Amino acid sequence: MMHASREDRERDDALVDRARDGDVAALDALIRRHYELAYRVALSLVRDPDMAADVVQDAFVKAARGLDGYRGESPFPGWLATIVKNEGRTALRSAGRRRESALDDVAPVAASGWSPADRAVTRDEARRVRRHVDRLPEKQRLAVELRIDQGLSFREVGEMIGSSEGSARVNYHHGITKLRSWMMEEPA
Amino acid sequence: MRCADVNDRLPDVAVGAIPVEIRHEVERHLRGCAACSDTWATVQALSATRPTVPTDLESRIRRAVHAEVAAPEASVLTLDTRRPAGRSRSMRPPAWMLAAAALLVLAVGTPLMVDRMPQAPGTAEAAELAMAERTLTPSVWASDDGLIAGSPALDGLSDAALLALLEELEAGA
Repeated sequence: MMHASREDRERDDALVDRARDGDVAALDALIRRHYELAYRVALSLVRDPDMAADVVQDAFVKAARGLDGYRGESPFPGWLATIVKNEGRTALRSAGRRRESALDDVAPVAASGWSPADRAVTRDEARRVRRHVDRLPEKQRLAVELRIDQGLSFREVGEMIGSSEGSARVNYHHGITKLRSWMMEEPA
Repeated sequence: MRCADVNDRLPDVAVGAIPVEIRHEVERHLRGCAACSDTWATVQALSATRPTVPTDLESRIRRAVHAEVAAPEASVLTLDTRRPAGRSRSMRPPAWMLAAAALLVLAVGTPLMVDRMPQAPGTAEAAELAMAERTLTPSVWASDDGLIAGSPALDGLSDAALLALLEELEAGA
């Protein structure tokens, strides 16, 4: 999970400065701190785990090569996410199509939270809802998946999708409302 | 607790990342609100299928980045202005011939080259990275908001307007 506190931002900026000076350990630290979020952004865009991994790798290489382009005006994860999104769109254009979500590669995990009336999520429900996510427009899909899969706050989601906190909240709400509606239209 | 507040918190409830007193408030709301209960079911289904991150991804990225920083010259072409070894000054053509050749190249080649001249290595990449910095501001976001035609662009709305829109959506949900 990303915690975009002021301390985290300062830590990122310090790591970027060191990495610019050739400190490979600083680069490694930046990778460790952000590869998971970068992967989720990529996966949300390209909908294919293998392609997402390639996209993230290429994005980090490009980011490492272009660290001088990061001026610190916005948080490092947002800058990185923009590169990931650009790489993802390029990969999709190269592939010439949007792949279907590889749901077999999505490992179901038990919801760890409280569940009213001990309601269990069936495997079928889980598959269907992820398929419906594919139908959402890009910003709504990113808002829903980054909020739920990565646990980002709306402010952090906004930084990732290039919008304000309020806009991120509305995009999330639009997305989740559509998903709920689609799930109800197509009962199990 | 309003529907909008409950919906904002459902992802945190799903992973147990919420104080117990707020969880109880959410629980009370869900018992009396069918719409939010349906949303909860959706959030729960999503939360139960969080895609896993490949276990080797971090090391794979590190290897690729290390290879890149270890050989940065490989990706950046530089102009070598040194004279090739073994070529003596006496082998060079006369100055008038070089000048004439240069004029000929300029007269004939320039119009063709202007259109065909490739970008300097790294230029496109630098532009992309610069764009990454710029696109963090909402005004230049390239993709759509996924809204129907005629809907307001979300990023242009004030916080108050966004809140009003959320409440409108809640009312219509």
